[in-house]
Amino acid sequence: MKKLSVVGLVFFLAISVSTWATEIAEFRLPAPILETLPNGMKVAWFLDDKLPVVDIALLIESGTKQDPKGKSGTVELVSRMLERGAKGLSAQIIGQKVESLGASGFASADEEGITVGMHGLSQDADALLEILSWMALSPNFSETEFNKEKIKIAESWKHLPDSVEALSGYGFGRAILSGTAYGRGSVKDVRELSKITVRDSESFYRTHFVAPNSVLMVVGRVDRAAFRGKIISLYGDWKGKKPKQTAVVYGDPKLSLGLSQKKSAEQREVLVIDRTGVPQAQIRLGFRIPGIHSEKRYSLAVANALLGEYFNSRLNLVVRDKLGLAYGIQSTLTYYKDLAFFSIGSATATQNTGKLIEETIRQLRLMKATDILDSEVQISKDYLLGGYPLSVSTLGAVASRWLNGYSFHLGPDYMNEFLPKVSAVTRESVVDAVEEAFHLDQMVIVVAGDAKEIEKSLRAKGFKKFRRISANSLL
Amino acid sequence: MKQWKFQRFLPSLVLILSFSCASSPRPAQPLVVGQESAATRAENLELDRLGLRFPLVQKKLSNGLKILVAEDHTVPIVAYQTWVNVGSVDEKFGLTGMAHLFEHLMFKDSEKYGPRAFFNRLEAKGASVNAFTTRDYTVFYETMVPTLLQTAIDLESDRLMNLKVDNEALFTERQVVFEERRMRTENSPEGRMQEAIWALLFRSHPYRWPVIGYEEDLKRMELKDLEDFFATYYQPGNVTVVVAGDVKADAVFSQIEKAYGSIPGKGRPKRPVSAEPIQAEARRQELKDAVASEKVTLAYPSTSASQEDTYALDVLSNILFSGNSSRGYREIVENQDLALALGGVNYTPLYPGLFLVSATLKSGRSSAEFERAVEALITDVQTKGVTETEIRTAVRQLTVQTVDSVRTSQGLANLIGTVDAIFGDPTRFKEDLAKYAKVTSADVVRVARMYLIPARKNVVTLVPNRKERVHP
Repeated sequence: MKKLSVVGLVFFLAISVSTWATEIAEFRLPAPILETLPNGMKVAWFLDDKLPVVDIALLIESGTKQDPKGKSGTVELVSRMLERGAKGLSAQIIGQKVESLGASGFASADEEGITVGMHGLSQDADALLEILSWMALSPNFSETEFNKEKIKIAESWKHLPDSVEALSGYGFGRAILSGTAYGRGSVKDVRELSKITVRDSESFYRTHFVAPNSVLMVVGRVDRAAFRGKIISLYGDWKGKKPKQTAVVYGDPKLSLGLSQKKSAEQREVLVIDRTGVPQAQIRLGFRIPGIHSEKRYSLAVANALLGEYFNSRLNLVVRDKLGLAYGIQSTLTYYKDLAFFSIGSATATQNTGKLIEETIRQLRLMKATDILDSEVQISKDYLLGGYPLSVSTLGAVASRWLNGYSFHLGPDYMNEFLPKVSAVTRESVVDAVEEAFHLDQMVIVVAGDAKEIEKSLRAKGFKKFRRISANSLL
Repeated sequence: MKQWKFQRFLPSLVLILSFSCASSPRPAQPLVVGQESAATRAENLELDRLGLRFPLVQKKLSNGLKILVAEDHTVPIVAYQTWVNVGSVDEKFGLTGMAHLFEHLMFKDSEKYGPRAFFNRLEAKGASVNAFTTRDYTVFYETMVPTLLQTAIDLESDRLMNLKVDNEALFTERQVVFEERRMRTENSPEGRMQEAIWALLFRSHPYRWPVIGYEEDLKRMELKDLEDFFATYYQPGNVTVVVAGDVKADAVFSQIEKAYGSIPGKGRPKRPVSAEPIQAEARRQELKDAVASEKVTLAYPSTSASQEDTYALDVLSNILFSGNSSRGYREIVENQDLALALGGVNYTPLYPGLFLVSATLKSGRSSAEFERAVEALITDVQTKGVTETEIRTAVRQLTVQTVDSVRTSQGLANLIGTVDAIFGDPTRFKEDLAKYAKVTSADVVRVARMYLIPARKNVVTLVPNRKERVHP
């Protein structure tokens, strides 16, 4: 009887595990219907009847990375001008037209692209598509509105030091991206911003807002045949040639920390952004890793998960649960089209800054010393595999994932390669990936908060070299 | 993966309008529950037209545990949520923050499955596992693929029966909460303002203290306090389980009954909440911080979610502050160039809440100017009313918000749980869109005159580098 019970238990577990594994293995993402119109504009359809809403977004494949030299902020201003009136109508009138439908519109820019979009009820899809076409194809570029937006950006810029978290994120971003095409961010500084004229932005718009440089995403409930006709009637005459993409390499001397000089973490210069009086320090540290096309990507994803992505990750177990040093600590892999980095972020009472950074670096060194168990790798893989369906549980999330793959040129299989590729990761491949990618001797460490206390805490843990800058000096 | 989303290096200027450890404002939108009767269909014409149907089934066990299940087979995901009818409103002054600290301790250890079971058995298989506490309730949630549902049921029922808490766990988790408080409040200008505005407006009601509590109170808590808290609130009679997603309702009822059926229930504890006296004078407080320009939050005492005036106040808040075509945005941001960021909401929890307006002002502009501008907007509504077009826009916005809120199983479960926690009836909401649609200009004028009056105004300003002081 006893033996039978054991067998029964094993059988039960096997069934239980295989059911979960089967469920995950069978998971597939819907592929979009992708077409290219005669004018070169691509349309990606993600159709679904579940909810009576639609998202329509036009992506332009040129971003802030393509800002002209000496005029960083041009692309940011282009995106803002899309919302500041079109087709001779004021921003207020367009806003009223959109919002009277209960819908919302947006335009935004990041390093890799500009997006202008609408979200609303499916029954209003035609109207939203038409208003979107006004914004994208016929923006007013009024000089008055342009100057107002410049003032708004400059004014917003002054508020960077209001938030310690924003300071550390900004400082770390500029430091880790220093000396690359991403080094300027969306706006390098207000001085460059002030030089940009409405003509500069309009010129960028005319070059880059062309049909072959665009993708229209249609996500949600629409009648494809009818909606396609509407798209052609509104966007069919849009023409142009795909622009040549150029980018300016930049590194802010204040924030460049000599990434190429190899030193142990304790010997490296720590960037301390002073915000005197706040009780908690915001910490970011990290290093560059191989880019999105590296074959180590999925092994690194597993390594990142077991180090700091979930509650049972090494960093959380030690820093939060054992030592009570932080509310949370998280590691992240960030991929741009041409560059990638690994980072860890956390916050702790100022006097504990040194202790938290010391413990974090100790955990990184343990990883690097191949102290990685098979069981940990398996748990991290399961975490990523089981979490994948959640991360793409809405059509919008699926569309977003597809867009990443499309714009990063990750190939036609990208949508459904995550699960098999993660499944294929082994302990050995994780060890190899960590060995190759974890450049601890090229670490960037940035801390924002009360500089005097932060440095005292770090000195006590063997850190000797600090570059202290005031929060306002970043402006 | 870097998302194709806008990520400015510029700081976000949008104010956080509601604070709790994970804020969960009243769903100013209706729960969309498909019903089959002709009478209900008649009420739900608008929802039918939109094609929204999420059949909801409910059951109550003999120990008082309430179970709500909404099937949605669109994707292989299920959300399992445990709504405990306890929040910071149930705390005693001097022991603030207990509900939230307890939420943390619920993840520590239990008799049958041992420490960290939720992370070892669910998160380790990809489930999203977490919890949040508000002023009115505490919610534990797991979102996962359906094959993990039985594990979630086992673990949740086990910790309701057999939670283990010791002094070591209490000590460490208290440190974690202190860090959370530093991050959300002490380090954050907006967090400090949120804490201040609730404390300014509420003088007697327990909404006056923050969900996360005060550090000195948290230090004072002992194991015995927490054991009493657990025994009173964490029992089936005070709990609702909400399940939404790719499940079969009958099977779920059976699984839950088997796991929870033997746990004794004690019914719902009474909530001895002192009513807030009617405010008779304007109040203001000034804070200081190293910020670039003034920030302001205005608040007027408002309604609870279940009061009829809530519908007109919600419509009014949308007309004034929702979107770039709202009256507030046009006047304060565009025409008067007073603010960089502006927001407003009628925040109506279980007990009467607040009508909030917040802004980050442009450099050189003063909170006095901002207050005058907001008062002018209010006076305009009080004297001239609002247009039918404005009401229609507000109702449309509320409709889209409703649809958006049920895009995921987690969102659907959140909505069902919130409505049930506030109204005690998850279907109570199905007529809400119709109620919004029935709001008239006269209703909006009436509530503007009744609630948004100078003697009930509360103002917290945050000024750059000036001495902090409190005005009586």
